Amino acid sequence: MILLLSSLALAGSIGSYGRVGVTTDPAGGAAEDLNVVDAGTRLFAPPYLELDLKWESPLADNRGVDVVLTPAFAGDPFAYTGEWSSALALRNAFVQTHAPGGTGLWAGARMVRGDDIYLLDLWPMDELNLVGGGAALGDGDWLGEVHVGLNRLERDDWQVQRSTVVVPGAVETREVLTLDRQRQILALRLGHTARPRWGTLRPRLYLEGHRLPAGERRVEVELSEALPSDWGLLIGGQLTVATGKRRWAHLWLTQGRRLAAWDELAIPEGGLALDGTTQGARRTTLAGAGLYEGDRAGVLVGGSAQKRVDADGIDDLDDTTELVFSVRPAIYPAPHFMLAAELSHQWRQSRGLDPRSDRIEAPAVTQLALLPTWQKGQGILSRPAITAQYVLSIQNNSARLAYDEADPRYQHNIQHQVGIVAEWWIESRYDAGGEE
Amino acid sequence: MILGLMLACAPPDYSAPPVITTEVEDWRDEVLYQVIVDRFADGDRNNNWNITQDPAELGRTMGGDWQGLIDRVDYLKQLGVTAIWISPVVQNVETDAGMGSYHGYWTQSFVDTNPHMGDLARLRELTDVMHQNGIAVVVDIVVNHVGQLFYYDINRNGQPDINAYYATDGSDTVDLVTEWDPAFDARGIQSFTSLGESGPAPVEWVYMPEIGRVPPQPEEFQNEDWYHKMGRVTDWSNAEQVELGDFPGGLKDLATEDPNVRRALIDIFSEWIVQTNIDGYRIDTVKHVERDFWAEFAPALRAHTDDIGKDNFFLFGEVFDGDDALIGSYSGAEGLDSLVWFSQKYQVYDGVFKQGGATRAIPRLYADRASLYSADPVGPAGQSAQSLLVNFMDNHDVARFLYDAPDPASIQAALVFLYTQDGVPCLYYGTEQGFSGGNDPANREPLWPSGYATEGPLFQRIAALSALRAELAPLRRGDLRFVWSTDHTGDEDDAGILAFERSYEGETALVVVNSQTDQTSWTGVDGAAMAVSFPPGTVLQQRFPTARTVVVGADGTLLLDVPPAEGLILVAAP
Repeated sequence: MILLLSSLALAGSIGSYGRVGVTTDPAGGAAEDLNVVDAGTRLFAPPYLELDLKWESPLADNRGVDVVLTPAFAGDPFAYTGEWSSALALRNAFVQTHAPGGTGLWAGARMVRGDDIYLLDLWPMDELNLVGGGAALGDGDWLGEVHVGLNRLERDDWQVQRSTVVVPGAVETREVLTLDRQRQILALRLGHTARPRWGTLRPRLYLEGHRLPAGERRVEVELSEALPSDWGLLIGGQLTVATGKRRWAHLWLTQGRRLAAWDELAIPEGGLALDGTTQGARRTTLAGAGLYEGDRAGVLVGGSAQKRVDADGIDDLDDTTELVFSVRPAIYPAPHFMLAAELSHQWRQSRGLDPRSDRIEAPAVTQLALLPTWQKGQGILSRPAITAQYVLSIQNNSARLAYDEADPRYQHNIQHQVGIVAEWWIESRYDAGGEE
Repeated sequence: MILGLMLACAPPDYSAPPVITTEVEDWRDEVLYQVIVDRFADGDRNNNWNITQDPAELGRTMGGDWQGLIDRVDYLKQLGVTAIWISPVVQNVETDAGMGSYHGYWTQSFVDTNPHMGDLARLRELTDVMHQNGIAVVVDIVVNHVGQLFYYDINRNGQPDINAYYATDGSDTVDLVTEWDPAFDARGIQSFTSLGESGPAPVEWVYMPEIGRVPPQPEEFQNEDWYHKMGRVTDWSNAEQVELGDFPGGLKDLATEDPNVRRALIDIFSEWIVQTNIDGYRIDTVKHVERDFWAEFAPALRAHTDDIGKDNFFLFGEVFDGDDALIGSYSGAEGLDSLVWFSQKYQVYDGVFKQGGATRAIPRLYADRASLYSADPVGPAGQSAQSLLVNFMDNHDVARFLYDAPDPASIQAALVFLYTQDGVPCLYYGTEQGFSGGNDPANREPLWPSGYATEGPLFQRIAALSALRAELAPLRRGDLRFVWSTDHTGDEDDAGILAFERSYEGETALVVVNSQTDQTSWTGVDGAAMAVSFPPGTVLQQRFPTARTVVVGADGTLLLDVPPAEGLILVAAP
């Protein structure tokens, strides 16, 4: 790996996104997040690191070809756990060509992402993990993209299953593939960038299709279960308004149906219709994010409302409505110093009865955080940054019911947590507030 | 507006306790259908963890649930069902010795629903949907015991041993016993090592959440004084053991004589009615609980249902015994509204219809009923146990009728008798599909392989009988008078004939059954013919199984031919 990095560094670049921190509560315990929605605040996001390794080769006419590798590490570092282990994933491994206007090709394994809501660590419309390829055609104002790819999730005998069988003619066993069905994904994205005098206006349309072929998995030695074919479709739209690099807003509206009501890396088991398909499932999301920043102060906001109905046709805990918003105002009293606060509220209601209370519960959490920060530059999204944080969390009784009585989070409605977090993005493919 | 639409998360209809309603006017009008929920229909595959999909593995959970019943309500209606008796609804120990708790009799929590079946909202929805379709809901309950939730730490080593030394009743003989389920010891299970006894064995609750074997709920049931702790019944003729011993399988016997236990159980099962608007309880293992308990439990529930406006709530119990004196002793003001008529199952459905015994046994059984069951009008709608006995030909604890019937055709006549005699007919699910499983668990087949067909001859026969019973009030509420029975079981003209009239508000229905499967028999023998209460010359219409007209003779008799294994239903022509 060292040799590889060295050779690549000579011809390209190394970028990185990362965050590492530690938090504690008054009892000395690690502060666990209290989110009650799918994508809540990122105040207690676990450590995560990406290394963006890029080999760039210029071609004529401002065109070029790149090789991109992004190994990523998740989980607590050795210094915290004392364990020589870390979850490692190869998030990107692809070759891409690029030309003026955004035209290009790619193939390999890749995250295809649009804009995110930094405060919620959420990509509300376009975030795909694909092994496949794609093409883009653009002229600087219009950009059309098509991405196709496959995945085959290893867990839960959903797309792939390996079974142990007897080797013919021998007293030994071997593992054979008994289920193999790849999810096929097609994404189309069309964007236009208008540049009126006051800034930039960028509408985007997004279409995402999923198809999962039929299969059959073994459930007992001589018994198999048929898994029907399925499909899903997500349609989304985004409108971005920007009056400068530090003044912009995004608004998204999406609806995913059937398989596309779940992320492509999720397994919808637990919410299937009786025929084993996702027929009837849907997820609708309305989300927004924005930054307004001046020389002395700024504010970053993000919010999302989501309604999800699974395919079983039964009012249960999987059918939810969620709301979350977060606002982070900040002032810059001195160079490299930012004093920020974050106020957030999240709420969820499902259509099923809570199994402990036998009532419809509506867990809600309000959090207020103070975030004094040293940063290299100036701005809420300026990184690298070192942030001390104090977080006051107020959860209602419904939220406490999400935890076992032995869980410290069950004990109190009001919780105090302090911590320190380092975060950076350096030459990274991730760029909060912008797009990939 | 979009946001508003998204936020319009209307509360589910079943998120709150329902309005209490009275669904049954007279339980004699009802046709009960006993359902093991796990075996009826799978309506929600998302609660199908830890199940088998192999229809041969009947000892494991298979995936049926309350949603499945909701989805199949039309099937029940087509069959003519007007009340369902569903297996217990409470959370169970998930598995024990590799067997699943699909049946629901291994209570872990008295206050939580079995997640394999659905949540409380689904149970409310089930009750509501059934009520909307004219079907009452009876829930099976167990107060005698809980699941295998603790072991006796006989050797005090803090772990459950399956080979612990033990001297039952202090005898000189030392046996190897399992600490989960040691044999009955009238002194209570003792601690024991090779050096002898050392007092009562400690009770050790188990925490095995992976199989749902965790201490019972509500928490007050974690008081070891609430259990008899005497070990497993080994002598079923010993009344002390029957009442105080653990049920086989390590099902721990509750100390139901304790006022606190009684109060807790009364409160729990009162609350289920409030929470779900169910219409009755079928109570398991009645004879394993001391009589005093029923004298307190049943009146308390009657008072409770009166208080909440739930009229005609039905309490009937299982005394798994062939002795009418014993079964009947649990009925009445100090007991239950009614009981499952086990003695009839043995004497009539087995003895007469399956084995070809004399039909004379049936009037004798009815005579015993009149003397051995309570006539107290304390049951729903002021009925007594005598008129509300729950009649059945088989159920989940005995082999199905067709399993060991020498001639399968005998079920045809048995069904006619079931649907026309006095009391509440109870059909075990799958009978309509011709299921023929042997003893537990073979008699608990999944229903889905049948495709829920409604065209089969048994389904059609039952549906027709149900419809006729609904139409003809005498078949439901009429006084019953036997007009012919016989000791003949051979080739005599009247062999296998049973005939009775049921009269209600001036109308009379005549039922004639031939339990013989190999000959057409007659309602007469040796020159004597059946005398009926219809005036001479009355024209009778045969309404079942086929239509024909017969006329009562000038001497008030009626000589009818009845095909083998058949039953006739006749009424006066208008």
